[in-house]
Amino acid sequence: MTDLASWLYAVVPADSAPPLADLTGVAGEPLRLLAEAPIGAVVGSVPRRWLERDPTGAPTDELAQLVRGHHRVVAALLPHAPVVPLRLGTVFSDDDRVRQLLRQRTDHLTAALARVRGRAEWGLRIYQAAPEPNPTTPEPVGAVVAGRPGTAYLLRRRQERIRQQQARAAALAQVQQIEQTLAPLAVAVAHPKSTGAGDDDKARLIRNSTYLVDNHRVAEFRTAVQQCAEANPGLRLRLTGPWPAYSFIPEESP
Amino acid sequence: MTGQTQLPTAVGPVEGDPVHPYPPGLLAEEPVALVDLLDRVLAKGVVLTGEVTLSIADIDLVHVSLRALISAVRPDLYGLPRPPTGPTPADPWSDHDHL
Amino acid sequence: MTTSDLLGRSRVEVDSPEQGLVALVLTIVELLRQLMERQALRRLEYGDLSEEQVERLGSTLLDLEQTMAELRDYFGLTEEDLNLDLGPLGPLLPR
Repeated sequence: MTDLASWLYAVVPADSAPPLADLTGVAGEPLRLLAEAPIGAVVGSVPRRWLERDPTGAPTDELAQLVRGHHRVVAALLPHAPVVPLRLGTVFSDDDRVRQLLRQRTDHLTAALARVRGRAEWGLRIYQAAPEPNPTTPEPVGAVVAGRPGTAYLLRRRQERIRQQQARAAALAQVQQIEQTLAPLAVAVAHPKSTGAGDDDKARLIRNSTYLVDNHRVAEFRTAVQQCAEANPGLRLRLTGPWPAYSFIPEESP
Repeated sequence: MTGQTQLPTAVGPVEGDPVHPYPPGLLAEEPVALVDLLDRVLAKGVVLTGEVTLSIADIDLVHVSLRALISAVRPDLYGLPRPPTGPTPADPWSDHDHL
Repeated sequence: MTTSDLLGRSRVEVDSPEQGLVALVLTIVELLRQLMERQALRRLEYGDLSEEQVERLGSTLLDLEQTMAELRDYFGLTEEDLNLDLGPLGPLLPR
């Protein structure tokens, strides 16, 4: 066993020729394409020692660094070939083992490449916009006159809660309409649960969605998202993309 | 197999400070945010069983959150130095490179 | 990219272990306060409380809210600081 292991970034067609010489991997290593026609894998050699570092030393920044490094490679491939991205942390003992795996999973991975060819993923997060400062709710006159501040407080809180619930229901209805507008422009839609980690507006997130869109319809899709944003001033829409299709890899059939 | 048609250029940063929300309704296209990365790179993508264990990435986010919370309260439990008492206590995480 | 960015607790400035512990305790208290308040509003809706009971309940909750605000001020914490990020489970306190 050597002191190197093979980190797997993505699967691409064996005959694609992505500019790997311009890229480096998570450990700053050079990359190569292992071809097992019709598919191939983009891999880099990373030191085993480097992979098995002591996790008690502030792992979170290093994890973020790994995530960014992995994604940087995957994203750089996207303009040049259909890309099936690997989840972070797929590491093999050596290239032979990678090739073996490619041969075992050829059908599944070929189908996955076909699914994503000519397409990219677009993420849409919809937040409720910050509420306007509450207009001073006039206290219910009866309670004030009778000198019952406790009752007044409860009645005020009830009004606030009702207003919040109505705002939320209205927002959900708007979200539904947005989705009805956008879904026909996409090949597929998914609504994965977001980890929320690092989202500074997490508390106001109403909907996390992701769309698989044909490249030739992207301009149309983006225009539609812009129009939805303008039509719904009570919401804040955040579009990111193009992503390699992390969220739309078909499951392997048993 | 032919390669893909040229993709539209990636969404880049636009005017405006991404820390402060854009006015409600206006579309904000922002550079890749960590939450979107984590949602995909850690939770999605093809899963193939590798052979080498990744000690760092094996720590899932919940575990990290709780550990960081506890270690902030009781750094001695995690072998981290106690911050010195005084006006500027040291943050045990602060000397790691910022991304 | 800091640790707190990654954990989604971007506004919590934990300057000392003691303040971190206070924030944790106050978060739990705030959770209980919100639960009690919600329960009180449900009883109010249900309509089986006398005027006196409503007033007593409301006064208690009003006092509790004011005390919480004072405690937050005293320890230099904002409303946003009082929350626990449970990762995939989301924040402890809603909204």
